[in-house]
Amino acid sequence: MQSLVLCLCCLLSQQPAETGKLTLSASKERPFAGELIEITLTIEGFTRTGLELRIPWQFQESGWQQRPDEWIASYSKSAPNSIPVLYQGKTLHVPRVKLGQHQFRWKYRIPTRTENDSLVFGAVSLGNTLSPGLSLEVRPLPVILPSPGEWYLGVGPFQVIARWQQPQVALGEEITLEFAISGAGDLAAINSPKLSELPGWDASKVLLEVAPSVLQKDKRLFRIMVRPRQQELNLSNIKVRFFNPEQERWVTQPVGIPPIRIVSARGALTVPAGSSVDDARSHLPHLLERSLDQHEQGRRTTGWIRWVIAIPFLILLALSIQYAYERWQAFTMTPAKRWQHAARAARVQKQSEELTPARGYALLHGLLQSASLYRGTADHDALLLAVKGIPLEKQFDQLLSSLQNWQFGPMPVQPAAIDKMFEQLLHDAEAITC
Amino acid sequence: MLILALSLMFTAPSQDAVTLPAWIVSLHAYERGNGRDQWSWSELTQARASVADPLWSQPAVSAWWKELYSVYLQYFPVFFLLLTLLGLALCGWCYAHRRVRTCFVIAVSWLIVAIVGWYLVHPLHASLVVIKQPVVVLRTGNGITYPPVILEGQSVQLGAGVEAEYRTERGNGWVQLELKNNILGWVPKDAVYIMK
Repeated sequence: MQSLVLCLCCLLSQQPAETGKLTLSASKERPFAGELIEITLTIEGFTRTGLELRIPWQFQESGWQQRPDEWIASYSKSAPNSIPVLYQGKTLHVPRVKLGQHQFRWKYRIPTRTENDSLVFGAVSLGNTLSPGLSLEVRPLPVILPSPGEWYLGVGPFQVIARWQQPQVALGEEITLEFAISGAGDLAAINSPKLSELPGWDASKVLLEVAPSVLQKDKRLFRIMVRPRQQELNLSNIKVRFFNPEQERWVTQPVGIPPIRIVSARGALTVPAGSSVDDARSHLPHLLERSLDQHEQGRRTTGWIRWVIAIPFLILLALSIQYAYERWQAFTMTPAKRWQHAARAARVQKQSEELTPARGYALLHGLLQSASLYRGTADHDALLLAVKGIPLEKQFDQLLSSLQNWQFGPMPVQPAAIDKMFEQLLHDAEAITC
Repeated sequence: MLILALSLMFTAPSQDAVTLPAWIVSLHAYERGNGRDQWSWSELTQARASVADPLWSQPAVSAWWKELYSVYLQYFPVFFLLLTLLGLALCGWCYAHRRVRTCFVIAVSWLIVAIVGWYLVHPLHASLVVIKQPVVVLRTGNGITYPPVILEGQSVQLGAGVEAEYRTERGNGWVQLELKNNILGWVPKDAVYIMK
């Protein structure tokens, strides 16, 4: 509740007694919450001028329709037959309304919520004269059930006019629909309309978006950007609801939406709805769709070719498995086993072809390579140590020199002798047990 | 029947501003599902050149690599089979001669060539937006109240058939897209076809 307290110090003024009368009154003694009223201070029978006016009200509160400086400015100019009074060190001129009667006026909007049902304005003094206080009974608004299809404006009365900013719009382009609201109601408290929730304004017909509203001196403009989606656009009227304090009831008024002409976009036909690929396909002429079908059928018959790319994959996989297997075997075999394995492999290789000097070199090389897969590692050192324990090293030297003799001379060498040496070498290698 | 098929292959009917975007989207969908072939490539090139937009259309420009690419698309199965036979022969020979390392290198090279060849027919497809209305204003935000995107002092208006990369969309029915030169903007969802 707004409780305004009179400043008692105004009673202690030193000026002589005045015979005039001060009266506080309101345009409505039982206003509704949210209603705009006028408060009047009537000054009667004052003969002296320049008396000090004291007002205990807090003009900073939101209900006052004028700021204090604006109110002072409105009475600062002298008018015929007005009385000059002092207010906060400034001279105000109280205009005369009739003979011997002068009035100050304020516009005040009753708060929508009060602590109790009364509103008290403290007494005003002019010189030594004190006015009685002003007490108003605030009536709550009648309860109504909210209706989703209506635009609720609050306490009015209001006048609402709708208009398009242009007489026509191209399909797919935007146009502004403007609602101009004027009247005694609280324009600043009105919320934007939720048109998309209203019947007849669904998103399949129009795309809507509320632009920031503009509050002018005596009206408020709501601008709605509208993008028609259909060639024919019949938007239904909007119902606004507000409370009319004069009639003391809720009023529902239809606001007519003027018809809008929708022209085809530049060279366009009606654009079908839908944004997906399937929609696009359904928008194709029959001939094009059939053409697509024909090619798709042709592609399906050659679809198998994609599996060809798997062949190098499989080959790489097989090679990798083989390589990994060999490495694993080499890692897990002991040097002796490795020699035995290499000797058996060399024997098979030797038996497959006729022995020649070049073949002999290749066999020796292969034997060494197979037997020392981890060349240059600690394992290789272990391998050499194992070989040194038996006469393999000596046999290698003899076999190499024999092969050189066989190939280049000077001493003739019998292949059978070399074959025998090979057999001996392989036999000894297989016999390694360390 | 053969004559009808040939006539369909070589004489595509002319498309208006409504059919053209739908045709471009359908061709993209065809390529995503079946891979690119010489027919879809030439049809798409032709359709892109028909887009009536001075800024964002893609006129058909002849270039030697396009001709080469067209031939490759036409004979792709043959090329792919030849490559496979060649790879098999080389790998088999190397393996038979116990040249496992060479075989491995050949198989890797074969795989790389096959992947590149496959990619040329099945390129990676980003999410796509195709404008389907004759004039769509590109806006800076997801709403009609946002100002248009300005390019060289003029608002950007996209013609039917213009392709752009899909970025995101909002629940209020607006889609963000990215044009060439990294130009970002928003258009209503009902004004575009979307391929995700």
